[in-house]
Amino acid sequence: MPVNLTDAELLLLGLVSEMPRHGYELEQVIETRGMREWTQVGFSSIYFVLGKLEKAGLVAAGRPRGAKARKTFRITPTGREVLCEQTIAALGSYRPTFSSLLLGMVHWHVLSRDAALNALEARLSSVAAEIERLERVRRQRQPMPDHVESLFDFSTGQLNAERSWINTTLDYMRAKPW
Amino acid sequence: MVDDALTDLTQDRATLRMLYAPPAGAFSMVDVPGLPFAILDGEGPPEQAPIQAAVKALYTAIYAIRREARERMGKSFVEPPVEVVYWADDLRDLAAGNRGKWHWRVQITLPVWADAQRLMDSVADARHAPGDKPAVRWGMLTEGKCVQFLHIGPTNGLPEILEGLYSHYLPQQDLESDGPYHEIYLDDWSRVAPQQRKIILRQPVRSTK
Repeated sequence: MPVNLTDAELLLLGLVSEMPRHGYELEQVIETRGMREWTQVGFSSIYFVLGKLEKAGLVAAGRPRGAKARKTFRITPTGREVLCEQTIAALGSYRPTFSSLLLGMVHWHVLSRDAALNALEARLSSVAAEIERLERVRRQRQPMPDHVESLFDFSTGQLNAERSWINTTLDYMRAKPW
Repeated sequence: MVDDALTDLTQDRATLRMLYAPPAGAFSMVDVPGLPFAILDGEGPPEQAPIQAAVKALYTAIYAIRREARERMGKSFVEPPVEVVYWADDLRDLAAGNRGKWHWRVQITLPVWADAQRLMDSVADARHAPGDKPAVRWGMLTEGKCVQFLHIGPTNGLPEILEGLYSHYLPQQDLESDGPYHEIYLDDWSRVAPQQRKIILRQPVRSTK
């Protein structure tokens, strides 16, 4: 039976696969690696998700040593298989994400020429600000492994593509005689 | 300008393997050539928290160089590991594990084209908060003849290996220490379980004969 994990499940399964960790530790790793920038996994849902993974036999909880000890989760052999399958699927298939830009451009004509141009110019500055922010985050997070550096290259590349598209479009819309 | 005395590890894969992929679980000899380093001196005893902070500061400082390295070298790019060098004014404190009396520094090998000026540019580019610039310095280090040991596992296995090195292996081979001992960490500890962590122990030596 093919398993379909949610983003939060796949994320936690991957972190537990690095080494056995308990819930609070997972929260800390998610926080330090800034994973909340691109996934939605709340602190309270970590335990819920771990419970689901445990039920599905993908992770196993070690018995806590002592009354105050925390429950540590480790990946099971089945969990590792599923992690590999899901990673291949995540890398291999394109999942479209839709930008607010699409709705904005579709309704361009409801605005005056100046209002539309101003709005697009504002987008240009917010894209530039985001590029600069990612750049700072990248440095704060050093050291990162090369596959995570590449992930940042991907995000920056997308933003640069958008910036260049905005510039081209602004030029065109400004030059348009009507 | 590339100094001829420096070894370009991206061109010399054999040396690269010898330096960072020795056989596991046994002492072996290695001749460490002159390499350029970014170095950050540690303060106080070598506790985990200040070492981790220094490692992070060093990685942040050389970020611009690592990024350029990735672009320039493409497929032949290799992430150099971080090294921590330990020494004591009195060698006996090192052997006895009196860590309170140890000195330490963290260092990472740089590409040959990254000279002292390039390192300073990289530090300036790192976007530290004002007044928070780490005192990273450039240095060329030639260790020469060394004994090394690749340990795979948690750090509590290290004292036994060191005991074997200083009390048995070196005397048997007619060798003695000749420079500070260091550990090279091949993994990011926040991502790799203790049982799988690879650490190279390296001790420069000279012959006693």
